[in-house]
Amino acid sequence: MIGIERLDTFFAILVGMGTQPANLLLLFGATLLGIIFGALPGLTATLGIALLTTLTYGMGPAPAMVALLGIYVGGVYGGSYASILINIPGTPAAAATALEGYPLACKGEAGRAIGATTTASCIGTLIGMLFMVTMTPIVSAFALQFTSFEFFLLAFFGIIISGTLASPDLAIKGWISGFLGLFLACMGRDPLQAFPRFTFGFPQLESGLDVVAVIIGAFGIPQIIQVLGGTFRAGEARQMTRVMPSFGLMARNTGNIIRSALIGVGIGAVPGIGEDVAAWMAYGAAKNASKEPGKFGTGVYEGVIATETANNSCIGGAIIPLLSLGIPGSPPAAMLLGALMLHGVTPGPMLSIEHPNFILQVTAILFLASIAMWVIGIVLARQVVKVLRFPPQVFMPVVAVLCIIGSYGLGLNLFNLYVMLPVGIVAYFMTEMKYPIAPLVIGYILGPMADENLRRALMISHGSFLPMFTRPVCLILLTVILLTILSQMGLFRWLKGRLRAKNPGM
Amino acid sequence: MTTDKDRMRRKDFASGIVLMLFGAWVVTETVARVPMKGSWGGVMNVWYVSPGLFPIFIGSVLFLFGCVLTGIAARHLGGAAIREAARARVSALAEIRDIPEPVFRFLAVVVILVFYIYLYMSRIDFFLNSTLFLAVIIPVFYLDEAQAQRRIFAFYVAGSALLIAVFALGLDGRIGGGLPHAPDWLALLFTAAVAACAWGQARGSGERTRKLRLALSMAVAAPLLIGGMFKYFLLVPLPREGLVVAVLDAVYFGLF
Repeated sequence: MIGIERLDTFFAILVGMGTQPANLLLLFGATLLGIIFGALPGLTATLGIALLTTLTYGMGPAPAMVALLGIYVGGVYGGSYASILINIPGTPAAAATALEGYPLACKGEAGRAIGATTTASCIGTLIGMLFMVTMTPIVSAFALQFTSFEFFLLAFFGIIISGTLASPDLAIKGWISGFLGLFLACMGRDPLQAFPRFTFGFPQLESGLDVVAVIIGAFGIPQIIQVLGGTFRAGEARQMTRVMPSFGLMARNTGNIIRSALIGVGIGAVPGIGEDVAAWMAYGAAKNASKEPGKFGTGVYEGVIATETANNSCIGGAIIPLLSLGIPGSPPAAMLLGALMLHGVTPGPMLSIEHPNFILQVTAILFLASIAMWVIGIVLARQVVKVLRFPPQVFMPVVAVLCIIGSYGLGLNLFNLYVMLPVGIVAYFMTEMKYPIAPLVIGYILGPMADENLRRALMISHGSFLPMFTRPVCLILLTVILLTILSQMGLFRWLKGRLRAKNPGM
Repeated sequence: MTTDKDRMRRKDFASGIVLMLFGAWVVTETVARVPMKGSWGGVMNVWYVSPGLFPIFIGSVLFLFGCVLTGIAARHLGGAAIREAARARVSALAEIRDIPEPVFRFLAVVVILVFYIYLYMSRIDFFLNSTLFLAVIIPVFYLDEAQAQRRIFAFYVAGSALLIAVFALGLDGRIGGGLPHAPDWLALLFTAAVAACAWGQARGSGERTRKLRLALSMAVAAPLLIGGMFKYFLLVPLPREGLVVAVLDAVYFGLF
């Protein structure tokens, strides 16, 4: 009964949004912008969301979400254009797509490949959306039982797990990145007693670091320095024929699509990892499942369909922990969290109570965004790929101007700019030394939650840590955290090796 | 043979030490400045309610992670290799006669951004400041010719040093002789000089002249588009509104 009521509400929201020309214009505009952002090497969906957040500040939460989810969906999909046509991934999420997409373009099948990725991305987004709308209320209802200890451990879990999985080198570097984010969150007056911490006498620091300044600094500035500081050379774009969505091809890949979508949703739901890991895992799974794995790398459609389904289904997956627990599942979702907070919506278990229809609203927007993405992808692909001819040395400085005015525009505060650049330079060095940036941002966002809940929990228990070991959810979280940390230690690996040696079948 | 992993562990060794120092600083700074007990804002503190609890936890963990990272790097490289690497780095620094290309490119991006944000953002009209920024940074990286890059950059740094001196000594007001928006006129002159310098570097090559034309068109068009959208569409006041905003205001309010 409740399900039917929710379905009714969903369709009412969908029709309401789909029939408003302003919303549709915003949706198509943002999705197109996202595709352009994704297609241009060096720009990512995360940066797109960050920059668009500043433009949506004057809007209400619903139109803002239309714009932000539109650019998110478009941005993740758009990366495939550059991967297929110039063999340079437009976004990290599309890196795996280049392995099969470019050989297909070399065979003169660029149009057909983009048709396949467009349809796969659309289906992936829709499957992710289905999981989001069904799983978010369940996780939220479960999270309503949480107390301060659970929330502290949950924040800690988010940092440890994202640090472990997002780190391209040692897991400890991901954890360090997360703790540096927690330190940034400590700056300003503390949330319980308003005591100034690490303000260095600057009154501008009393309210802490601005979320947009930190996120634009952490994600935008390193990209600008990397593209301009490196010797970036755009590849020669392959000719693109008419974009044809081949439904027979998609039908033959049904199993591949479902498997890749499930991988995408699963990876997306784990805090801080994101679309790139999902795409690589789906590519590996498609190769393993293929009857002709030897053909992978020479231009097979299974590969591009798997990667594009997975990275787009990851969007819905990443929104599950974001809306239910307030923990972003991927870097663009982290930016989305910042944007939601700016619009007065605080994601977490209370979201369904404070904004009963918000999850359905997000579902409707994701549905419309995936349709908009498919339409633009099929109709305008040949026009959109013209942006690939634009040299990155010209558009990156313009992006820098956008980052700067965007960072300033939210608080009309020059101090935001003075913060953004050092954060960006530190993030650049961290990236160069293979410290992942996503845990830093997640740490920064989850910092206040961790700080406040740790002290509140200890206040209730009069300074005792015992409830951490007696409450079942706490115990599970603590065990997972400890196991995650231990699994990265040499002793654990040595023990595992010894066990394997004793039991070869293990 | 030095592998990528060896090089990464050398960086880890250095970053681990920095993190240890940083973690220790966070702990000592918190202990020194944040009350662990006593009264603050009408609240009687005990250690577990103190605003210092969380920073001490973070600082301690960062210190510990720094130690672990340094340990991992040291174990991978070995003591002799670390000493050798440190010696090699010192002697390599001493032998540097010219800034290597990657370092130059990094420094150029950062210096141009620093000047754009810290030096000019609060002093010069946003449109002019952004035009100057783009008129320097696009040619430096787009012309793609090492000597031209360095000359344009050196010209920009020298000009900026002169402007710093003018602003610091308060000469901008006096040079203008009461002219409104004197700093903006100076910036306009400087932008024209930078463009002329870039033109000089591009002359003689059709390809470079074409690139410079695109760069300079973008330097003028992008700030007008971006700044115009924020100022007149989103109604966001710009960081500094001067000469160009006055002209645009006159046009905008004349039309609407």
